[in-house]
Amino acid sequence: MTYQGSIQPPKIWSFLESCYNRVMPDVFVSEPQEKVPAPTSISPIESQNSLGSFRLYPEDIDFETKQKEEKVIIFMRAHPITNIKWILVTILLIFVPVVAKSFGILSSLPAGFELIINLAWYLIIATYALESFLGWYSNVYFITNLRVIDVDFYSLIYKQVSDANIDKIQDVTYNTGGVARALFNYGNVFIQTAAEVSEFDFLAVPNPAKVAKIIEDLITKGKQK
Amino acid sequence: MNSLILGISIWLVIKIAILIILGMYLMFCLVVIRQIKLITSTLSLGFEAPITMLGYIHLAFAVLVFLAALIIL
Repeated sequence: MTYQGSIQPPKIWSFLESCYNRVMPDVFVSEPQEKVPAPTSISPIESQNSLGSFRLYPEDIDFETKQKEEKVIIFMRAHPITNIKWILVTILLIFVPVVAKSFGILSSLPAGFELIINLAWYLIIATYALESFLGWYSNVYFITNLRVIDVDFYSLIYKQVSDANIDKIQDVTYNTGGVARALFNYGNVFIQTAAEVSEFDFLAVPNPAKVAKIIEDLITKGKQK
Repeated sequence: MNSLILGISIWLVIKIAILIILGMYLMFCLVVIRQIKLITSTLSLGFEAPITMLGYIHLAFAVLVFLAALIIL
């Protein structure tokens, strides 16, 4: 017990406290908690932002098949830089009607048709951008204390959720080839398992080395138990 | 611009075709809304409200284009 401030407790109190501690044994002493080292530096990619690509111990994340005792250790999706392709394509497509107008391509159409064709074009671009964003947003990977989980949404309304227990993992490999991947530190993590789904591919995820290391640590810890 | 085929204006045919395509596109936008609902019911990642709103804005834009085509053409 510590006291702060200028008023000191009487000495008799500390004497009584020491007597109490000697006579009364502790009813319950919690086991020392195993602490997992916190990341030394948190980059924007690793932030707790809901659009982040790499989140350690996220508190506010939930998924359909999550069990009560399950704790998410890592949440991942493809690195944000992988969105650059569809963003650039979208920006280029936005200027197509302007270029078409400058060349007079639609000028021969009756009044009103040009406007509707332009609006329809922008609608198609909006759909393309929305679908690309949803594809990036919804294809996610979880590593929990019990399992690895891969959530994929294909085409429009088809989803696939694959998982494998940590003790079923046989091998973890990763690669980070290429200039962009080396520069932004992202790559693929491949997990071989003895589960129904024999391989999990975590594609273009940030910090692949760290991911592989954490999975290996979980496997080692599972074997020790 | 009064090109007639069998007494029917070609622009009327094009207008009907555009309306049919935009109508089908409206159905597609509803499927996108369904897709977003599927995503948000499967995953709770803290960005559910904005993507749901994006889906509805997209649908509203499609409705706007359809109505514009119906009125202007």
